[in-house]
Amino acid sequence: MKAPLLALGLVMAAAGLAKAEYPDRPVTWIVPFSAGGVTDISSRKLAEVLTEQLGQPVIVTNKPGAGGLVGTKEAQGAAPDGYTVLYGSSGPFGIIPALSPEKLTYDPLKDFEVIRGVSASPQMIVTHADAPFSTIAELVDYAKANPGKLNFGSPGIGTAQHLAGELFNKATGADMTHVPYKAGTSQMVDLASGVLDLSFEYSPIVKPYVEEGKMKILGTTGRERIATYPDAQTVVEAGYPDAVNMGWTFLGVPAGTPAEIRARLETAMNAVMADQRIADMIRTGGQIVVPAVGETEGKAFIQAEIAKFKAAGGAVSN
Amino acid sequence: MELLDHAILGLTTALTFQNLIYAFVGCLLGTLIGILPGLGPLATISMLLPLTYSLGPTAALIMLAGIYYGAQYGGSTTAIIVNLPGESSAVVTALDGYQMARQGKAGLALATAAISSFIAGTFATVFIMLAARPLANLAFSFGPAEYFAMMVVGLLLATVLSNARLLESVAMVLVGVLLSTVGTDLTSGDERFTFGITKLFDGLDFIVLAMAVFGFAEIVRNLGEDEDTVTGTAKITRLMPTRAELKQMLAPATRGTMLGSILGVLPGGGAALASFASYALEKRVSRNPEQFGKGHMAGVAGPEAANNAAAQTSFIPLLTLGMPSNGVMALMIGAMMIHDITPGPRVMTSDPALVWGLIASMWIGNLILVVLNLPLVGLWVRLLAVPYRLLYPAIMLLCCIGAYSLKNDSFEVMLCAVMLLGGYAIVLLRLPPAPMLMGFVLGPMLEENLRRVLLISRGDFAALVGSPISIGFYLLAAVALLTMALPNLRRKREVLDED
Amino acid sequence: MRRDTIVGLTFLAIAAFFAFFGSQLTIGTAARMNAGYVPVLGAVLLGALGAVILGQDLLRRTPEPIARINWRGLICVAAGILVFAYTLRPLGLPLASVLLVLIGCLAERPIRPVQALALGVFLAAASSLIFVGGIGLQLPLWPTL
Repeated sequence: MKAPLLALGLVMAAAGLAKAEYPDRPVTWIVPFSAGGVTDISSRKLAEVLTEQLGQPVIVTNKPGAGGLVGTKEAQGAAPDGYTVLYGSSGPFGIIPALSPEKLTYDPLKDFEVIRGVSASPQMIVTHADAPFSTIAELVDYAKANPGKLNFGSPGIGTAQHLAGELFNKATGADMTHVPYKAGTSQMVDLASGVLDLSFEYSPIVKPYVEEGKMKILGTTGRERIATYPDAQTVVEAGYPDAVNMGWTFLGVPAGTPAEIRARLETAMNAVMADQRIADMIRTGGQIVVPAVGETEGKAFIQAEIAKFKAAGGAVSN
Repeated sequence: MELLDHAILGLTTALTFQNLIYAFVGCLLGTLIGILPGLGPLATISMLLPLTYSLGPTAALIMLAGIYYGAQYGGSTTAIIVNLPGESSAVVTALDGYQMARQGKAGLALATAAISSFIAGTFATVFIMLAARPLANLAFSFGPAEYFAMMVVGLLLATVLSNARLLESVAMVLVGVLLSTVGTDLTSGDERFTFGITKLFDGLDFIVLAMAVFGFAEIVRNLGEDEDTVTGTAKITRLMPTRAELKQMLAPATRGTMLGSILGVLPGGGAALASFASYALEKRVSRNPEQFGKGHMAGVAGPEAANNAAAQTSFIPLLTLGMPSNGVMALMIGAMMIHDITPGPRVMTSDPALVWGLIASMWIGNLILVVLNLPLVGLWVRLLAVPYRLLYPAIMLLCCIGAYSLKNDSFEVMLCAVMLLGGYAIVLLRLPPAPMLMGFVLGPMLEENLRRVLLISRGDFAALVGSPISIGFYLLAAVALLTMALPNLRRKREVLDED
Repeated sequence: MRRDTIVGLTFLAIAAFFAFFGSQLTIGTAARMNAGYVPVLGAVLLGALGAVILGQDLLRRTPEPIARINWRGLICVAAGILVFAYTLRPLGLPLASVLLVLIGCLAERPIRPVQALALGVFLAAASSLIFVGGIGLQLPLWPTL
């Protein structure tokens, strides 16, 4: 009875000793949001190209919940062997640590290592078609002339869109009231019908309404103009560099992953980001490709963002 | 005529061999998962969405639509056979459908559901082709004040759902509303009743609640009784409806279709409201309202038609404006974007084959489902003849798998066990569960919209009655209240007269 | 045990829970409602209804009794679900399913172990094939040790 078991054990030990080339089995890519959302769609396209680069299937797994907290925690608890990667984003790594640190069950700076930045999306500043202002400057003038009158919507407290509005408030002195919604939709309907005055939303979401003529774009919260709306003035150009805000994403691994594996992933991801399909996806999504930012710069960036959100934090609570 | 051109374009696109296969596969997959007790269309589509990523856009959407309807049919099937609604709009079907099954009329109930859904699907498709644009614009007249008024009516109707004492129905609605507050508060960002548990931040899941109360608790109760009382379904009468019964279905189905077609267009919660507004309506116009809750066919025909019509018209804002009216449509947008199609008004002109093909495919999907499901009725009914001691572990397993698949997490499964205690108490005390579930679904929308109106108006309550639509709903609520109270008064007077 | 009394007490208990923890949140005013407003308001209404139901029953001369509680069934079903929840990841779907079925079958008298095991194996195989193999749900199949 014991002999076959012993033999089995020996074989397994031998197999373990034999040096395996990373990766030698499928990699799990955790998306802390549900299927069909923007991060999910991007992840699937990225994973597809990454699969080609690594030679092993990269399987996208959705672990939604608590604005990204559940999936991020899951990734943190995974073995740091390079077979679990996380699609990190500004919510769980920037906004929540800045505004609700008591909710954190992980350390965004210590528990993970940045492999490569992926994308950054500025928000578009939109209003309904018959609003009495058409540029950022006019908006600020109107807001100052009518303090406390304007409303802006967002898909929820603590989202990048919400923060964009608060940062704008702080930078321009506009005194706009935040109205949270559950997800993009009803917010857009209310904005188009005039119930809301403004929103800071991503371009794919506002596009149908702008094309239909129900909404107009005042500007964008990015540092540079984006390809899909080249006429949209940036907040920097309008004179408010402190209102710059972007939602950002990166690929990360749990801390303690060996250096060779991280280097392999980094090379692979650089190739992925250079791929034309990904470049197209990012451009049409109204986003920009993040330059090859790795661990040190990535961490510095995240830290700076957390500080920035904290500074805007005072104005957040209703 | 332009309409005819569109119809022809649609049919030629949808009827290609390839697209027919995709529609069929979608319907089949959707039905299979919809049958998983507790999993409804939204959960099903989230799970199966990745399967469509490698297809072309038209094929992907056709398959997704097929999955959507299939899941709805499947969800109604489990609601009738094992009293497990897969989503909020199936709760109403379970009310009378399951009772019909217990009386040996499972076949009739299933057939009623399938046929009413098909009637609704046909009318709704024509509706969409004729009135897509004006219907879509309806959505823009609904702001937070209008939604609040609509929810008030909805909650009132929720108390009508059961035959229990009014005091208890209202109390159960309140329990549902209270349970719905668990989680992160939308308007303020505060955590309510979560006690620091991260996985509770998003609140309790409707499906977990439904499974605990309708599924697991029911199992425990059945286990406590004799074999005979449980499988009262043993005496099965004919499977297919008679001509007379078909005639009886027609009126409720038509009324349900009307209700569903209009309510489905409204973003957020239109479908659930449609199915039980239909139930309330049928109960009101019926000649024997006391039969409702005990297995009245109209209680299945109306709501089933309503929720199918709503499911179809919910595509309208998506196709005409690029605007999703519920979670499923949001997923559809995701599917379109993966195929590099940005949904919006331009899609109708830039890719008419996609839009009209999809619309035509909806009707074809309905046809496929009726053809699929009617013969399956015999299979399901035979399933009921399986001895309960073999059946209930299977139901348990299916529910657990379903619960896990909601978020790929065991937490939801564990919650089921916890909620089971409460669910069993409800079953044991013979309290009405349906009002609680309705309160759970409508409560958040009521609160969210009320607070939003007040936030925007800076505390001015007059904003609630600002538009004709909201005033209309309040009047409806008042009328509903009166008609509920009057019969009670009349009965009391009769008793007094007799003295 | 009187049914209506228990119903009333249950409602009162639920109301008390939500009122107590709800009052720890910011309540706000009617015009500026905050997180705690609806829970506390709802709890108060529920408590009132519970009190009325309780009061009516205490005055009643012929109370309605409650049905017999099926403790065995309740414990077995709940335990089965919990075991499944905790063993799904470590043991994989097929093993967890078998455990679920075995524990669930303890609820019915007489206990037929062979039948339960056979049913468990059948359901485990069928669900693994259909849901993971066929449809592609993200459920672990193998033990992760």
